[in-house]
Amino acid sequence: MPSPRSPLALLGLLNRRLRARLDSLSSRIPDPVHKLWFINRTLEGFEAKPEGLRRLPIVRSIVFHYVALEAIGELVWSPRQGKIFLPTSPLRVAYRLRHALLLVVMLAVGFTGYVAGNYGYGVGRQGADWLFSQLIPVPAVASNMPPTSFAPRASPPPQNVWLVRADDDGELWSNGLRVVTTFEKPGPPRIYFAFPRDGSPPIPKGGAPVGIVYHASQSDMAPLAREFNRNILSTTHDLLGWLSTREIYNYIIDRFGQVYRIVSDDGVAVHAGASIWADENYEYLNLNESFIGVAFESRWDAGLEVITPAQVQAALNLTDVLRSRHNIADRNCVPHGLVSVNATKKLIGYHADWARGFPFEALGLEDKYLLPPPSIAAFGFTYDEDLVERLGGELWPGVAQAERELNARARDDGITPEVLRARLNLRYQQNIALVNGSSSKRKGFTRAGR
Amino acid sequence: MESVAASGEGRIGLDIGTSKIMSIRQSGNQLKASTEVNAFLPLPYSRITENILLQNKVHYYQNNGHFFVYGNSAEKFAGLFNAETRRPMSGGLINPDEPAALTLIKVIIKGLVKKPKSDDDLVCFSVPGAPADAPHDLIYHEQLLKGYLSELGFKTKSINEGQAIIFAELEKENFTGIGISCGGGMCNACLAYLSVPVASFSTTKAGDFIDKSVGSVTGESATRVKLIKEQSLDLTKDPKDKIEEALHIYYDEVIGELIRTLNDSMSKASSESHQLDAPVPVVLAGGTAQPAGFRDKFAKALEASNCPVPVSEVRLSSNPSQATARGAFIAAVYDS
Repeated sequence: MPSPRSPLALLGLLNRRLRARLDSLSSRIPDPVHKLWFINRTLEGFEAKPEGLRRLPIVRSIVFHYVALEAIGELVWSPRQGKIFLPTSPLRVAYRLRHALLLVVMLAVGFTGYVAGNYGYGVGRQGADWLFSQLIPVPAVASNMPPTSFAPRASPPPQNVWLVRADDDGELWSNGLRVVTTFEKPGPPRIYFAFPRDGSPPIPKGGAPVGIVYHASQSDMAPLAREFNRNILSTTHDLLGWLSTREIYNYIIDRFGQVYRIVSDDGVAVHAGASIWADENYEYLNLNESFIGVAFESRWDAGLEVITPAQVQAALNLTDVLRSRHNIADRNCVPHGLVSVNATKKLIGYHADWARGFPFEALGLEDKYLLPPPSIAAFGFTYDEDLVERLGGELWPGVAQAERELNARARDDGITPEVLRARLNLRYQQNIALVNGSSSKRKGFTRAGR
Repeated sequence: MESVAASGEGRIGLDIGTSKIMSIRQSGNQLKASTEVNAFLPLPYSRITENILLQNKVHYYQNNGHFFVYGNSAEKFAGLFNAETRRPMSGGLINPDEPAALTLIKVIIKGLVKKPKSDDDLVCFSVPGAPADAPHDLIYHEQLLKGYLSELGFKTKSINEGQAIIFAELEKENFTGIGISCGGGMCNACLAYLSVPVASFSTTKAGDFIDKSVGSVTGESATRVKLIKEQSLDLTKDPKDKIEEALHIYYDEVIGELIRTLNDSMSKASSESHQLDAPVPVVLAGGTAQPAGFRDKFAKALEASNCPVPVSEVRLSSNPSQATARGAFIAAVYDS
């Protein structure tokens, strides 16, 4: 008996062309039982192939025909001995050589696709940018929004924000925030170390997040104009599917201010990678486990404001909800560019999104650009010219402050700043070894950062 | 009957309907069908009655001072003794209000499937769609039948009646289309795409509903109404008496209910983003679909109803009474 399969699952397997192909092949089989067997064998065989292969346009067709050929082969040359009106000689050859044929075809397609894809993406992207600029002279942001023009938050954050309603599609919160949950995944549970700043032994923690890291999705963007509504929406939808599959970020805010939860608050999402932050009491390393990742759908570029007022308003409401729900301190609400590090080279700003231009004031948060980054002050990291260049020739003020503090501390200790950095780097290595050891024990939960 | 190329040795298709039970098995290169009416007639014990039953080689068994005449003989003797037969099943499922139900179904089934010849022999039996108001009743019904067939030594499988129609009648369309079985207790339907069920449903307004309703408004016995319905009703012609008039009215009601439910179920299937590539055929089968004109009436009503699934044609099964058993037999052979 054919196994009952949901219509969506079935239709998701084959596109219209392949369904027609299956239909056509089935029509050549005169016996109803053999036909039933062939259809189900082909569908089951195709369903059993890796999803990645089934989704690729050309590869999907190759895999389908391979599976169908196997089923026909079994039917014609196996004890079932079905009567199929097909030119059996070429088919017999094809059936015998099917593994080799599949390998050759897949390699050829893969190589061609790789070359064409790389070239095509580069050319296409340049072409699309040029085309967009010719069609409608707007940047990838709202034209009525001058850089860094968001008004400061007018009222203090509410003391308490609560969940008003939750259904299959999403949640409504008392401050008006709507969270779409249809893409949500649970994610692995949070388990991490907090390193006390007074030097006492690290404390293993878990459960609720202690902070928020704000990101830019750095994804493709169509101009924000009425003419491009379809492009904007389809780009967002594709992005959501991609993020959800890979469990990247806990939340994303699209360009119209709609908030989507990708991974539950209690679950670890991939977002911060190698990263460092500290509050008054603790230092935190590799923040995926301890901080929530919130991304703006945007392409952040140093010095250019790339988010919409709707996104800022949504981020404000989301921040209020998360802070109220998890008792998150203002100090731990920080942009990605300020926490991301290159752990090997001991450099700050490995990812630089929001290393400048983050609307702290509009979100009612203290300006973290003024704080000395703990990566420098506590662990001796530094920066290179590349970062300065990427940020338009100037780093955030906290970096200079951290450098001054580190130099002063070296003087107080009677050592050179280089020696102090080396000692602090060593401390980082010891701590990160503990974090990595803990992560590797949690087999299956360890994921690379962004 | 059409032959099946794949080996059907040791495979039996069993249509367990409210009014009839039919088995199909392979005999040489042909398929052989056997039918028993799914009804019984309790008669008080007497020597004379026993002699009559013995002389006529009637199927019966004796219990609690009664003879229970069952199967095809029950209808014949109901006329002879001017009595109404009783049904072990109601609304497509085993009748919980009939104490003798299970015993009688077992006896009838045993007579049809005989004994298995090997441990590998398999019976695929039909089951209706789950009733919307009591879906768990179907589980009970299915498990009882499975248990009994296993007791007899068969491997078992079950198949939805609508899907069985698709297996039997839509082979040329590669098992894509809508199969509807209009039986005594229920109408069962299934939309399948390349043999995979996409949506199925059932309604309880079927043959028995027509018989009882017509009997009720005309003062005739349901058994007699059934006889008229099966032997002489022509829905293409104007009714010539009040019984036929009532039969037209209640057939319209059954068809109307069937199409309303069909459209509703297909809308739900469509809303799950299912898009059929081409219009699909609808095949009607079952005893209730047999009267002349039923297909035309159904097709006309379906066309007027804006069915959400594009329909290419409405056709009547080449053998409406055997289609479900034949589909069950194909499913049984498929499991070889």
